[in-house]
Amino acid sequence: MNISRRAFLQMLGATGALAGGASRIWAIPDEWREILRSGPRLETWKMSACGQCPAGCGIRVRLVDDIPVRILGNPIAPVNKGFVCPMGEAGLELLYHPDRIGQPMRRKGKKGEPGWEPVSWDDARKTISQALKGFKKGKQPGALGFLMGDRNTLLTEFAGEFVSRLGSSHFFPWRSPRINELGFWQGAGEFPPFAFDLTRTDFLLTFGTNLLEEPLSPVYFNRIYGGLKEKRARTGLKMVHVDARMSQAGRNATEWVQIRPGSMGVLALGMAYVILRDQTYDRNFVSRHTMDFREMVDRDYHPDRVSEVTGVPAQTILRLAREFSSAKAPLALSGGNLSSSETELFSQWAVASLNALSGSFSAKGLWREPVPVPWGTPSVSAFSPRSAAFSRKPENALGSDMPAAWVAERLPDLAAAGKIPDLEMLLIAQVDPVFLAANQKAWRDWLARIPLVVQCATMIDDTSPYADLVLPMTTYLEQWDLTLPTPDLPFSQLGLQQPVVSPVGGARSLGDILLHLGREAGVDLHPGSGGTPYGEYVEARMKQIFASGKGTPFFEAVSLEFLEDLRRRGWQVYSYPAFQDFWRLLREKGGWWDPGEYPAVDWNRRTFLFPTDSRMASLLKESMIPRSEEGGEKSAKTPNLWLEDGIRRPDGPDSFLLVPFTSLMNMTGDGASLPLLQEMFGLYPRLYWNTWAEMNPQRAARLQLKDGDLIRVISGKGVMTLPVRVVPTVSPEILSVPFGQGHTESGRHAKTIGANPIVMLDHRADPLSGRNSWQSTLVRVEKINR
Amino acid sequence: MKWGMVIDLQKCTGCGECAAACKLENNVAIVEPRESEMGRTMLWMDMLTIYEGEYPRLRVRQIPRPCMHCDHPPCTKVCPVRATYMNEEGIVAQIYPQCIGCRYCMAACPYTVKSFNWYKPSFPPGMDRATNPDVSVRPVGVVEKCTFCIHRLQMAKEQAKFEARDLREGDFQPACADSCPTGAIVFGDLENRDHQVNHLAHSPRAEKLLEDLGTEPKVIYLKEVD
Repeated sequence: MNISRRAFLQMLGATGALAGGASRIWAIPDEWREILRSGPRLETWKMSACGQCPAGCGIRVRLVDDIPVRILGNPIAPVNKGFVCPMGEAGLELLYHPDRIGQPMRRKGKKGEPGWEPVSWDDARKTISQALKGFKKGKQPGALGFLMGDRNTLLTEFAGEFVSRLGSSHFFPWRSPRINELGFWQGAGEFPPFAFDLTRTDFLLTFGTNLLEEPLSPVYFNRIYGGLKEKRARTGLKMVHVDARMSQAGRNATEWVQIRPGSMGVLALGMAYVILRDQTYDRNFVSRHTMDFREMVDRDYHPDRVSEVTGVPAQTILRLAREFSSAKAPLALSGGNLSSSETELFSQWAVASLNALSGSFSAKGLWREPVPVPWGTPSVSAFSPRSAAFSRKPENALGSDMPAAWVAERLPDLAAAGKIPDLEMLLIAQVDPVFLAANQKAWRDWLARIPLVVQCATMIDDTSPYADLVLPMTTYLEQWDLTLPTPDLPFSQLGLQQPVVSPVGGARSLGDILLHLGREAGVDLHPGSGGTPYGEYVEARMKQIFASGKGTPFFEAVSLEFLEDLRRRGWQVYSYPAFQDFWRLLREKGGWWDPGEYPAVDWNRRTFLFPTDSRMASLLKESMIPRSEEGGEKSAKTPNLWLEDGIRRPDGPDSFLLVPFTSLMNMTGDGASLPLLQEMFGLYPRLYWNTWAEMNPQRAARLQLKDGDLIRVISGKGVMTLPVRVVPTVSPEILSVPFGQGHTESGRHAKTIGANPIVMLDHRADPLSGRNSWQSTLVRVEKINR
Repeated sequence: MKWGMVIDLQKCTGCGECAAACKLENNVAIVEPRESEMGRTMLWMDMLTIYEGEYPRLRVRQIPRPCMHCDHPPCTKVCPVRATYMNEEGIVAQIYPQCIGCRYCMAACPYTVKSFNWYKPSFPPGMDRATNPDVSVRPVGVVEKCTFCIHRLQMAKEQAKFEARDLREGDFQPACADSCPTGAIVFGDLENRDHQVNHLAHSPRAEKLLEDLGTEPKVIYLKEVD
């Protein structure tokens, strides 16, 4: 056998990494070190788009002698305007991670046991394509599944296409819902949700929505929040954050209102009660779009009762409602990863109703429809709760179906209930369900039952022991892709991800892997393409944008009004007569964007007219109030009655409600693999490389706990030992634990560091959206005497 | 010329990006978990959290904390070997080869901005490739701290000299100021009336950390008004 030195080193790198960190051999080219030491030190910059979270910030990478040494923000990218977050900064640590795998791995032992042998790409491809060919012939339709972490890039759409061309509708994207997504979906059938504009509000009310620490471009929202904070000193803008824990959004607000987890919808309707009583609502809107909302609120949401359910004093409810309704442009936001509870969908619907009452949908410039990308409506995966079937649908034609992403976490339950057929093969990419899902055991069992599980990953993660084959995947710095616009933002943009370096080791981009696999199975997703077909596919899609004539490559900031003026006069910022010019500009500038048709502006009176009003027709109707389909008798009752089952309270001096939270340093859980983020993770509590529990001083005093004491946290699912941080920023009823640590694999920096609070969660879900709840697990706390 | 920094806490959201950018820009070593437990984590730019009042009037202040580059630095006065000194442009600088690691300066600094290299700077495997080639890595046994990114000043000066002009405002920005998404950190010449920092430093909101110690910090905070 003829093995080159490089291949040998790669193999060693791969096996060395798996030996548990004893080896210091990497899976990346060794020549680089020499170049860095003695190269001519030529500095170049390359533009690309960040892939650490779904926000799609523009980045520029500094290269010295073609080796990346630093990631900074792309100053003309409209989302981040030259800035990145700590996760974005740490991108190179992912690229150079010593535990990245360099070649395909086959599991040696039984499922669930680590232990790998390297195999060649040819062998791996043969195994997979044989299975795929069977699906292509239509032997077992639907027996192929694909679970993919949705990073909001073109690749998700492409992978969905791959699965459907192979005759299956079982494409399961995995992402957390966007801000307001659940509420609008329920209230108005609106998907994607409306975009909102924080800069125009004079009263911002966030129901658990932590824009500063969620992967929706925290950079964008930190920038906006900075501006709002500065503005409020002059204008008296109020920012109120309602949550059980004072997150960064609460720290940067003018007021933090403690609330019992899960009861936010009740508070919103309590405020609606006051607004209706005071008759300070938008009568025009309510008379046109309301049926029995008023009766329902009047009957069930008296502030005294709301106060009893939520723990918020009745006076505060009155004050908030009056401040909200008397503001000129009030904006209430709900949703996000952190607010997932058993009443999540109901809560978001209630908050959406509050916006409707205030009339902010019809004018004021607070809400607008997302600007579409001019290439036709993309297909997304949808899930029908009634038939429990998955299908592919155009994005804004979901109707009564919901985005499949909402139920991806519950796949094993759906399988156990016989709602999806037994899969013969499951592809997994860009997601680590065994780490992320609240029902870990169900996931393990389900994955162990599927005959062939193939994972595409940059390194062995917690899910890998349940995969039969792991294919080495490139990071976002080595591949082509397009980051798609975030619907929450009031403009449209496509960030161009282009390879900053050629793939290190034997890694390949997921797009290329899928294209090659498809071809071998007789399905060509991009006919006529060559060696890196996915890059050519990306280019072909950009041709559609070029042909549409809309938008422009990123350019130095000018105001939207100026741009609109230019457009009217038939000017544009850049000139690109041919596609090649357009493409060259895109690669140089880092992406394309379109501020959209500036909403109809009456330039004399400066009022902004929005079309969102007419699409909210069903928001305030009791008949439209979310009801459980599985609830049986309960669903017949008024909603707040069954709702209260989902609002839990601690039941003893040592009992707490476990509330995991995310931090900017590790929003997705992947950050634990990167040493910079491991350190940054503990920046605020000064506990580095660790997980901690936050407890209110009153409760800590009663349990005789001091800051730094060790506690044992016990739930029905497990036990974890954590140091306690006694801080006034959590409500007395909860024990708050950061999410992101406690991996069993995922590289040497993440393995066995800290604890994973998700493991401890009871497996409860919101019956309406099907999403797992993060806020309904009671735990007991014991002091550990050292 | 007197370099100084103004941090507007009314704009700062406490995102921590300055701290991350600083670590990468200056090749500050990542301290592994076991040493970290002994309090040896090195952050040139730290984040202080201060709780004020009680719920419902609770306010949490988050204050980014670089080296204050004091005009009367307590650290330079105790250094037996002049390894730390204030240069003519007001930057409190460190001469690493001269440092004997006595750590007197660490004890003297009221702001605890200095950190000691307890180990040979070993970056986690792979990380050494992600280091900034413009900044040298400090050896074991010396004290280090924020330098106001003095290497950037040198490069900016060279560029200005090459273009035969004076240094302009904005030519030289430390990594933290450069990376702050909200523009809360402003850097410049405190003695130059044309520089923004000069104006901001005279704002009625301006205050300095532990001002009564008489250290005359050149990092000035604009306090939050609400």
